[in-house]
Amino acid sequence: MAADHGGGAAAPLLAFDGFRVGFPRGPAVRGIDLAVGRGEALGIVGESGSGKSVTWLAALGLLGGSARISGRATFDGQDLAAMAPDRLARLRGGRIAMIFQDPMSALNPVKRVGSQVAEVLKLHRGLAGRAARAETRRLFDQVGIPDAARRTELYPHELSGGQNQRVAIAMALAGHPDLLVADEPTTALDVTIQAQILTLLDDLRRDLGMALVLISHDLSVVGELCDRIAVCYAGRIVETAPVAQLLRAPAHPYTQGLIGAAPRFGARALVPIPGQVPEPWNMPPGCAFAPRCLHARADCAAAEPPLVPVGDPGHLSACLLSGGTGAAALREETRHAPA
Amino acid sequence: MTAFLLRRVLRALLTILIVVAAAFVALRTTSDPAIVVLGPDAPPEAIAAFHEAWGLDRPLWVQFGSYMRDLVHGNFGKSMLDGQDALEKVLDRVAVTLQIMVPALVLGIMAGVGAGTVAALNRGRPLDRLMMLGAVSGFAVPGFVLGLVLVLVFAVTLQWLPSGGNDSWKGTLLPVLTLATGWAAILARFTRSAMIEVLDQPYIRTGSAKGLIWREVVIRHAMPNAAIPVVTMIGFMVGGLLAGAVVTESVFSWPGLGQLIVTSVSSRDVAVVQCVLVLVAATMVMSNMIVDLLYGWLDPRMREGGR
Ligand SMILES: Nc1ncnc2c1ncn2[C@@H]1O[C@H](COP(=O)(O)OP(=O)(O)OP(=O)(O)O)[C@@H](O)[C@H]1O
Ligand SMILES: [Mg+2]
Repeated sequence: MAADHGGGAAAPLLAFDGFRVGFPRGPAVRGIDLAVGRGEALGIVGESGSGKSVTWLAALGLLGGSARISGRATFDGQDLAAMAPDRLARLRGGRIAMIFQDPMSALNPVKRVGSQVAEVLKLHRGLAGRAARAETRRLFDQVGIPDAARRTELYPHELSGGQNQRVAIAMALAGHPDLLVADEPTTALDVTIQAQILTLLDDLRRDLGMALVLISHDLSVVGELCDRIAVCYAGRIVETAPVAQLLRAPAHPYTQGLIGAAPRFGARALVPIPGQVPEPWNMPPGCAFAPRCLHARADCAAAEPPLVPVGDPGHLSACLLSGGTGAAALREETRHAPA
Repeated sequence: MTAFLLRRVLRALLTILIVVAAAFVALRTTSDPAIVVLGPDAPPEAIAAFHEAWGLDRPLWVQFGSYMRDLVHGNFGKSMLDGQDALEKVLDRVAVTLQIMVPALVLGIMAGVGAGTVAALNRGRPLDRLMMLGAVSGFAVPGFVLGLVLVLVFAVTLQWLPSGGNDSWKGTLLPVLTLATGWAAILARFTRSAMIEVLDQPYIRTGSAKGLIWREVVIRHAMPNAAIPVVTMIGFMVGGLLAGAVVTESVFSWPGLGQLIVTSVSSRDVAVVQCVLVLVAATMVMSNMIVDLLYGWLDPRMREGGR
């Protein structure tokens, strides 16, 4: 059962095993096998609608009642789905923290930002009153909010988007997390602020030794910050490898497509991937990427290819064509494929 | 802030002045109080004497001028029917009206806000449907129909409660129930939609993500935000409270302000009608002002110029 899905040889901090999430309209996550090691920085990339957010929200019990979960998600050996809702709630914001895309709307508009951070301190560290205020100011300093003493007294609409995201990060750090899940933390911010926030996340992870899961549809963002990347497509992980390996020798045609479509990595002109991610209620048979794949063969539609090792250690891919020497051949073929 | 308040107060006074002037003109030009009070067969000398006694023989603008002068000194004039001080007469009746309005308002708010919150938290489930069915019916049935049905059932058929009057506490039950039902129905729907809108906001998920259990998220992060529009609505209800008494008091022959309005208008008891109007207008204007202030207090985004 405990296959090595990456994340190092030691017991992983968090592991998904055949994790699935279904909505009434169809399955959004269709069997994810993935592990995050302690202190590791894992990037999750994939186009919009590929199930990146749903995977983590479901695992942490943050999806509404209509979601049906199966398979396993374990944190430090404990099955999250089997955990009592109250215990799972106390894990959130404590050992597992999460930050979201739009910092403006992620903070309560009628509460002072400092008190929203202090709420976590009270909940997970039992700090109140003067101690909580001091710690809130320290956290504000730590995430680079200048003039912390005054800013804690402001409301979200009185801060900029970037500062609000820093508040959200301070809120996440307040519970001393072992794992920080950042779901597109910079998508709603402008470019210069994006870089600052990403650098901050990177520094904090190194200083505090926490694991970081960075969800993004931007391969270049993830590539710079992470040790390892998992590529998500239509509710499955289709490829995972150490960053350098993945960018240098992508084995899955979808990953190759993402790299070709990314401004920084594309060889010559940008090559967009034709078509779009299938909807949960409209999944093609076999490999979900086959209808958009330049290399698709007849047998691609026969069965969903499993995620298997492809040569280098820690490099796994879910494509019939990418096993063994096939990968190199595939890359060669892609390079010469007409745009 | 003071400039803002001052502006509001001036506007409020202007509103009340307009109401008073309009009523003054309307009441005195549509029919002659002397004929209404003394009867159509009264001898001309009596009518002339009545006119002279109440100053009705002077030009309208002179009458209005002296009325306003008195008003500024807190003197609302005397009732033409019995010579009693108008303000005293009106305030007596206000007290009687509040005996049913205050309990009804409290009950209506508790039931309406409670039901709306429960419905929102159970959105789409049978409990939600049931509560909204109740709210829609409560809203669709006019107060006087509900009142009459209640009288028919509890007073006429079962004979448990009196059909009207304020002789004992039992008399308050039916009018309170009638009024509370209407308010609860409005507030339930209003609270539900305010709550649903808030529950869909991303900061609710943040509340869960920081480790609060669902009940804590609702109490700390959903209710304060949903309260903003609900408090506004309650403010408007309080503002219309005195004016809304007319129908219910008629149905239950409750001798409050509503009844006084009806009798004093039909008998052209000008001073009393004017006094009621000023009072009603003042409560509306005041509660609007309080709502505005509350709004700023509940929602920091509304505060002008920051702190
Ligand atoms: N609450 C929900 N109810 C029903 N379907 C949902 C819900 N949340 C997400 N989905 C569906 O699940 C699929 C995956 O959504 P998800 O939000 O995980 O995508 P994503 O990879 O995070 O994309 P993005 O980059 O846009 O955030 C989508 O098809 C979406 O429509
Ligand atoms: Mg997402």
